[in-house]
Amino acid sequence: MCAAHDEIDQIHETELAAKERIEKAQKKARKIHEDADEESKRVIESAEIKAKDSAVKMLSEIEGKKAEIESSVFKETEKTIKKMQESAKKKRDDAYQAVVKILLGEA
Amino acid sequence: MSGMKNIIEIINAKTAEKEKEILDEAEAHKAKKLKDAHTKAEEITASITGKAKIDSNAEVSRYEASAKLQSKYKLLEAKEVLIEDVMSAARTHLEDLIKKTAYDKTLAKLIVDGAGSLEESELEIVTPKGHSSKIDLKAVEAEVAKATGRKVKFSVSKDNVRATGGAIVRNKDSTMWVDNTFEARFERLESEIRDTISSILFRTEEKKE
Repeated sequence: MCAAHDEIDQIHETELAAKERIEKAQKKARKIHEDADEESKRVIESAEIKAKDSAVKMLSEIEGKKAEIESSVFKETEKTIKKMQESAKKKRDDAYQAVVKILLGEA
Repeated sequence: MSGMKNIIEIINAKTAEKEKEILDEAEAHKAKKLKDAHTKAEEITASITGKAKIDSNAEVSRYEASAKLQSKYKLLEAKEVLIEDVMSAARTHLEDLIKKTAYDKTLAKLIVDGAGSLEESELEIVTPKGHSSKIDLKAVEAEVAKATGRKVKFSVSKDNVRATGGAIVRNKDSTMWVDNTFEARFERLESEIRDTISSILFRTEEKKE
């Protein structure tokens, strides 16, 4: 009779230990869930911050690109104007004579 | 005793199985959650940087187009300066011309030119003050007859026109006239003058453009 009681007690203790282990596992699982939620939140927030920084950098580089464009386009224009002026200078007298002829009805 | 041992082993085995199940589910949840988070992070990154790239490119393109337009204006301004220079030289030439004897011929030519457009037998000449003395009416009449085959009688008006040189040729009742003063010709022929100057000065440049 005493031996039977002992066995029941041992089974009962095992069951209690099992319940504790399950509760512990559940607690650990909850922690894993919470950590996963926090980590995923961190991943998204971090990506957002990095992307925003990258966007700010990209937009701040516009001024540099503008300066490059200005330098290149206007430099080319100045070159074209100078060339045009030099060429026109040689033809100025022809143009002037032609205009005088038109005005005096000699053309 | 053996039966009890078996029961305990079964309980422990089932507990271990349940524990594993709980933790595996949690780890799987974690893995999925993080995978989703990385996917969302990539989407956010692509969205933010993509928009910034589009905005940046648009701004740069707008600036480039504006710079090219400004350049075009600069080029046109430079051409205008050169055209104006020639026109100014031509004006100076006309102002100087009235002081020279060659002006008499020019004045006669402008009168004959004006008369050619008027189908009248009597015409009046209006000149700037002091210029009428430079006109040889008989010579003008002869030139008109030669040029048009019509006999036209000319007279000099008592009126004067405010102009540098040239003349207005009109019929007797002043209903028809040709304004051949220098200023009027400049105004009337400006488009032709500008085209002529451009075609001479910028021939090569325009071909290249």
